[in-house]
Amino acid sequence: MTSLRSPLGWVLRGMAVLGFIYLLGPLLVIVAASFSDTGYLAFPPQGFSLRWYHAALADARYLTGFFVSLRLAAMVAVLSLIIGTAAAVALTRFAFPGSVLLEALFLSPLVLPALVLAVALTLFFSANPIAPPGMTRLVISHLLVGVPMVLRVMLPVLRRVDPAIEEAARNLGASPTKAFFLVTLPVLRPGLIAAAALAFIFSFDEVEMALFLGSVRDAPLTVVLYGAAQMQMDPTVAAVSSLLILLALLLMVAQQMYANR
Amino acid sequence: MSRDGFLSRPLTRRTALTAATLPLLAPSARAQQRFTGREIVATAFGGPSQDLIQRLVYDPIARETGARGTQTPLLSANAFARMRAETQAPQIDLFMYSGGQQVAAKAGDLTQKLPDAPNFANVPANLKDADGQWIAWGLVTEGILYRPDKIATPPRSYRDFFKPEFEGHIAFPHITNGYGTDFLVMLAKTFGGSEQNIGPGFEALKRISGRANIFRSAAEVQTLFASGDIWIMPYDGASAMRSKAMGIPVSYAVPEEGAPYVLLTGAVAKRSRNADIASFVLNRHLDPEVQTAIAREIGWAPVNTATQLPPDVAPFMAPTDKLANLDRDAINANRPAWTDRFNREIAR
Amino acid sequence: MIEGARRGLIAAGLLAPAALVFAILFVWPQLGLFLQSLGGPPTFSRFLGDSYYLGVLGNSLLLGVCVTLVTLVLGFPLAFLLARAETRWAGLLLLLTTFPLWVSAVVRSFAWMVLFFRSGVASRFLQGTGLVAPDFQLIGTFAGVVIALAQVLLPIMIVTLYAVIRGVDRDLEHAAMNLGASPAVALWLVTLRLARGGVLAGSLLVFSLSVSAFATPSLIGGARAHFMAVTIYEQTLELLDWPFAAAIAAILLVISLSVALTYGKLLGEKTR
Repeated sequence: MTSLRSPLGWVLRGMAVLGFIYLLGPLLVIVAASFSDTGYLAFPPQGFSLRWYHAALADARYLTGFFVSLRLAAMVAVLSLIIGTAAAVALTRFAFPGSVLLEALFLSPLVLPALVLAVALTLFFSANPIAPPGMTRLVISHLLVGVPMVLRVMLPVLRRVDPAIEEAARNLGASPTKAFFLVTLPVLRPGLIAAAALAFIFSFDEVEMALFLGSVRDAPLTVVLYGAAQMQMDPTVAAVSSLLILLALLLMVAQQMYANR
Repeated sequence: MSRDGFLSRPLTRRTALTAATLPLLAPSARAQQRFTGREIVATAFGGPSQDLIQRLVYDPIARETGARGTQTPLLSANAFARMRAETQAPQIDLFMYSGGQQVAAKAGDLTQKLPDAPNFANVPANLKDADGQWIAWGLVTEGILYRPDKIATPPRSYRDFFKPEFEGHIAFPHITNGYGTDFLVMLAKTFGGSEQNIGPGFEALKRISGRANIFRSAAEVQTLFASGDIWIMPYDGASAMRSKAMGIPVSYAVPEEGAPYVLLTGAVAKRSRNADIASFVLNRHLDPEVQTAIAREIGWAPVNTATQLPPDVAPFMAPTDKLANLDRDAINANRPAWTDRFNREIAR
Repeated sequence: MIEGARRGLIAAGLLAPAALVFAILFVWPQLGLFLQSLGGPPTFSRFLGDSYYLGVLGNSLLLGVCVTLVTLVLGFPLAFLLARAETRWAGLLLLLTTFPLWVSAVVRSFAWMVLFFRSGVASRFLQGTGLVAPDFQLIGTFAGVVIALAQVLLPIMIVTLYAVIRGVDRDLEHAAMNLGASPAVALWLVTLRLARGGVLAGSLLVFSLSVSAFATPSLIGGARAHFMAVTIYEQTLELLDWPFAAAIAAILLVISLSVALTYGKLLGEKTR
């Protein structure tokens, strides 16, 4: 590509490499420390031991928690994607009074510390038990952050889609639905994937609402990790984190190989 | 040391379980099954303490009485917020506190009376509520933690924090951590003040705070000592014990001014329907063999006077006659003002 | 063309689920909490009349701005290259950037802590440059909090920018170059301008999540973390002053949204 062979291209590349080092460097610390033969998080690691991996895999709570979190995050991602994208379409395609105010409202939960959301929701559910405690409450509570994330990503993506293309398709005889699926959806795909990924990862990582609203019997992984990191920084936590990174890596490579087949 | 094994050799859950529960399974208890089909949810302090208590308290109780026990990790402050927020429909029955929250809980009408249990009588009167709304099941003694490999002569007094050679190597907890508050009060007492006259405490703190590492999370203690930069901090003996078990050289010294302490207590949510099971659970916490196991593995001192303290944990606990009894009512009343002053003057 | 009434109906239908979720789970509970801040002892005047608290508010906004700038400067090149790369591994590299998000904020902060202590790699590096005192440590500093928080939020910026840049028509870039613009200018003029929606979206997300972050600022900043979120936690959990905490949250909400929307308006108008 022309623009990337220019000096500017090289500057961009240099910055990208720096960016990667910055993003992944601290993770190396965690992975390295997870192999340390010490009872605390040591960097540089001292000795070599797999016992923290052994401890992580032998403790059923981590695996159970992982699957609880997976289920939670998947539900939050799907629901956020549907609700958030619908709202984004409404905000971009239809002009109506107060849309700026609505955009502000939809951004609000991100600005508030998670504890504020958690306490307010706990008070609310305790007085108005409109949803069964545990997973259901947690999923709908996480929508407060998932939906704004999807909305924020989808607003610019939708604004970039040229309505003229869709109209052209319709002029060529496609029904509005068909035009949407044939023309608009492919353009939206990167945006939809990015938005769902953000909502998923947020929910997978969230602690406060999980502590206050989550099921005590089926604790999400974040709550299990919170417990393990309370009295001391148990290296088992580093081992669990490293296993998650490994799993993400394997999924990525598998997906990539499948896609490039 | 016999204790060294408990962290360095993780037992599988199964072997740990059988080893711990066999002696406790009294044959007579088995027949009772008095709580069959019921369930109690309690908060826990996480980490190894939660695992130990699951093994020694909840699992045997489930076998003996049929009551399933579930622990959920929740720091005392978070636990209290949750107790207060879900007053109307509590999801948690039994709340465990380490920061004195049980007093505020009782004052806020968030607790209920615990049905009496046999071991409760063996807990000294000052460690349980006169109206039976809460009871202590453990005690953590504070003092001075230090790296013996960096500090040749063990510290003996809170005055030792002002030795010039320690400058840049001191850490202490933020005032929102209970030990941070107690450090401030003990400094005040050391330099002529008291709970009612905290000024000297702040003056003293100001002298060391400039180059000190002031931390917020309890989980940081080991990381701070392991970094090698930190040699001395006010904290609790149990943390020293666990640090040592992890391989970090940390010792515990009882200051001559006295060792403050915090209580580990249990209180039942007002609208919980499981106060009877909760009382049974707390009673089991107070069994002498459970008290001994908690002391040996976690470093929390027993409160049941019938317990024989294992000799090997003695270096990490202050003897009873060295304990400093702080005026907790005065401290609680002053907490907002002190926190404010701490944030403005010390944490700069 | 669809006639007005039907259009209105469709718009309402599309908005209804989000509006319902926010009305029941956000507006109602938050209003309940907010009402606590009124009626009792003064809360808003206590905050707004105290230079310490105003300083805390300033710190939080500054943190939000700094973290947004860092993630934007580091995130744009990465997102641009990934969106434009023709290698089959581009998707893989994009996913690689999200790795920090898989590790809980607490664990990640401990990794930074190890690097930030006086004897840690990052602090040693700065000591080596001679720009800081020989016993300098990043722990407990504003810069340390920015570095650690920006790493956590950088993936969000990258993913958002990527999604938008992918949608920018490359032909426009080529057209600009054919019209005589140098590649650098073409990039600047076309991509950056067309991606401004992504810049805005990423900035708003990162800014909002920075001002509300608690774990990283309190672990890296320690007691010296004077930020709004930390103050709110302190008032809620330790001092049990929920009315005051609710007032602080309301102030944070109003001020942050004003900053964010003003920025959005500026960006929207300047480049249109």
